[in-house]
Amino acid sequence: MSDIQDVVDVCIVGVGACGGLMAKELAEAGFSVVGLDAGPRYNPAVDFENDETEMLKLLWSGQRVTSGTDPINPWSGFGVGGGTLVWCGVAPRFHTNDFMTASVDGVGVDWPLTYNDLAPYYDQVEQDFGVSGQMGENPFEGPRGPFPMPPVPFSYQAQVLARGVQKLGGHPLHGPLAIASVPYRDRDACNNCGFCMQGCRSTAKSTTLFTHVPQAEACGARILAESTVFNIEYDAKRNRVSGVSYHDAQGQAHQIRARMVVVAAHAVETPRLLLLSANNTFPDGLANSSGLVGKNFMAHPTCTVTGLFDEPLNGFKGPVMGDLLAQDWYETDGQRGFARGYTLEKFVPGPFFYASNMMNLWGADLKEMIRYYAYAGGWWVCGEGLPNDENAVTLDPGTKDKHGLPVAHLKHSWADNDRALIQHGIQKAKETLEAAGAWQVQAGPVSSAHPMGTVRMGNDLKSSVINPYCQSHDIPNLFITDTSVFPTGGGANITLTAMAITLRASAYIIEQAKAGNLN
Amino acid sequence: MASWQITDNKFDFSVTHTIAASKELVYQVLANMEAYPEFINDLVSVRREGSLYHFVARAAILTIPATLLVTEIPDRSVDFELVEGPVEVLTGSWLVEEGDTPSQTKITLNIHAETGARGEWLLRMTGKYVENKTDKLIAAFSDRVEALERGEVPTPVAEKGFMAWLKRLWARLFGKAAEPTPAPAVSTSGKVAALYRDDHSSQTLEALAATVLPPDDFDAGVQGLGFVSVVEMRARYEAGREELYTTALNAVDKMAQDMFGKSSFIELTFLERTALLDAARQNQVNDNIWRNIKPSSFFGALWEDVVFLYCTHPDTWMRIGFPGPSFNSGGYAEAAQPQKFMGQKN
Repeated sequence: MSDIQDVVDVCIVGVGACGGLMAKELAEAGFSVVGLDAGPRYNPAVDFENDETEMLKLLWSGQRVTSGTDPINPWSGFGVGGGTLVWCGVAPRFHTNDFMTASVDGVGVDWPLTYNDLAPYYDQVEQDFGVSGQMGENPFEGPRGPFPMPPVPFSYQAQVLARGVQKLGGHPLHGPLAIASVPYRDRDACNNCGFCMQGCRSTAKSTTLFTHVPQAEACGARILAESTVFNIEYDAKRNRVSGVSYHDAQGQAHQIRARMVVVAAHAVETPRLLLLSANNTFPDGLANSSGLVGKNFMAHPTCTVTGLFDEPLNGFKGPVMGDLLAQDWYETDGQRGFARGYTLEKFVPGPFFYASNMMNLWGADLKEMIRYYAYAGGWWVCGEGLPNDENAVTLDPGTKDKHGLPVAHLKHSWADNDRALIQHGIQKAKETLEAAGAWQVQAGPVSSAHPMGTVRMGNDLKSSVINPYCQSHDIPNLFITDTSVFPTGGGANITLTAMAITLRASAYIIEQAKAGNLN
Repeated sequence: MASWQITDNKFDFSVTHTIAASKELVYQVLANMEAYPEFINDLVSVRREGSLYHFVARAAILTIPATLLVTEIPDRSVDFELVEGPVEVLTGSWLVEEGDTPSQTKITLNIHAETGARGEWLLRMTGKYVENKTDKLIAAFSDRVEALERGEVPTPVAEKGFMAWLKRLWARLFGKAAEPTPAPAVSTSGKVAALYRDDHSSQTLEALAATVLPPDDFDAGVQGLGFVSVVEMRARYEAGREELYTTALNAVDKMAQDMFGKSSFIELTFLERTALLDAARQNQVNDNIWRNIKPSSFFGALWEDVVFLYCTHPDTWMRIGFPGPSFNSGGYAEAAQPQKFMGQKN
């Protein structure tokens, strides 16, 4: 139950990677901050278990309706800490061309900012959140500062797969991992237990729950768990948002008044909240004069490709994903017949997730893959899915949540470019596994990850919802900072980029507030 | 010290722990069940209705409601019995005793559970759950008691007045509740009506599972692991799941008649079962048989339940060389070295 009666400087909706970082930055700068998260607040040392199924509770499980040729409902986290509870800590940067695919390749749209604009914020997030890696190793990424920690050493599985990459003329890369390779700022080094996705039981994996959240609270921020925001309050006379309304764990409605609202609820719930917050001034959804809130729903086309080897690789040891990456097929290659590319990321999870990624197999084929689990080495192919304004998050007209509010409807179809791209990635994954010595290789079904794109960033009021500093074009004291702001999605994991954008936005907010421009 | 055993489809568990706080305070925390969700994250809510307590708990992907009949013997014990919930029988008690010194209190948790025939998986899960959760529960209680002592949370109001005094006195003298507990409004029989435990349903489910993951020279797949109780548990607590399975169990028998002229799915050969399931998987079926259910959705659910049971079972882990949880034993220092198979070879 909220007892917050005062008008706070800022309400943050969603306390995950971006909301938690924003809370910390603004609280440190002296703002009074309240962060609300729909999920519970877990205590990692007590609540997290090395148990694949038990920890499924860390995933968003609220109902959604899907449609389209390729209906998808990509994973997101549930709880204070958001997606960082369940992520694998894979923290690559986007490459220079990722920010200008329209100019370079004639597909997608250009971002209103460049790699160089973000580079200092990438540097700072890597230091602050804790990212391990090898500077100078990746010939494909833009100029960068040093990593704060040496790379997590290749697991044995990664070493075997790296040989396959080399045989194909590629570059095996130590994945930038937000996992402490050595003790770092009161955090323990990773002990290779292999249960990253189950909510890291130590402090090795960078998780907002025990990094930015306590740092924000130390500066006075208040974090409310199990508090689901259902409306952003709007003052039409002043054209300002004025606070939020939310349901507590018992379903009671409350209101908090705020001078500024930051929405960081991920690329499905963020547009849903803006659409739910429609009012007389904004009948099609708050801050939606462009009509683009919810449009251009994107995800990465993905696939798990697994090989069986003669010797045991024991893939359950070490970081579950991405201690080894290959980005040799990341950029557009005119010979391949499609634009953009993908990253290969080493991936063999625990037996249940391992098998769950092979839903296209059954009978003897499935049994063989499970039987030789300890001998498996695998890739997760993470490809770039291009924006498509037919794909959208809307309010479902028929299905309501437990509070009687319409749930999100996700309409999604892959385009021809996406299909060709992921098939190329699957083929390359197979070739590297075979080159590394696999005697059996199986690809799972094409899947999706990383929702993005539903509140596009841009300079033009008609073709975007927010400006390059994540500020609503329509309402100056409303900010959106999560992956929904991405104009295009890159071909690798998105969290670090979303955090760098958030950090840049927080610097802007602090500067603008000091100048009195957000009142 | 914890001890547990499973014999004859019954599970018994006991654990004792000492908390550095007064007996009165510890008892108050244990007995104040409505406050549990404030410090136990896996509990969504607890609502009291006389001596009945309605719990809603999170367990993996399921949200499970359960009703307990609770009997309090002040400063001595909190006894509970499942009235409605996921297993057939679950009884237990918290026992509160003075520790070795006056500032210490010994608490003992006893639990007894039964899941009935074909409930192997459920009994194992109950055992695992109780074992995993107990440490956390006791840690949560210890933290709560310490927080109370530091004044960080308001102390629960102890019952006052003549009746409370009488109850306490009675308990001290006779070691039981002063007043007989009112009979619960809910029948205590048939806590969980079995959905698919009749011979035909359970044999059909086992046959479907064996088609997805066939027994072979390596092992028996999910046979003997309690597949029926997995299906039942999800059917009971996940919307739409019961209709899916109930419709499918009828539909596969009708398909066996249509496709092969045999009376039921279990009469089919392995190859016939495979052909039938393949048709269902691709939605190449007579729609009348499946009514509102998409056969491919059923195939997906079946596949998921089979893989879930097989791949989370410690017997499978041992055979495929997965050692299971590793954090508490220190993880793997040798992850970067050449590896050895860590299971038991057949």
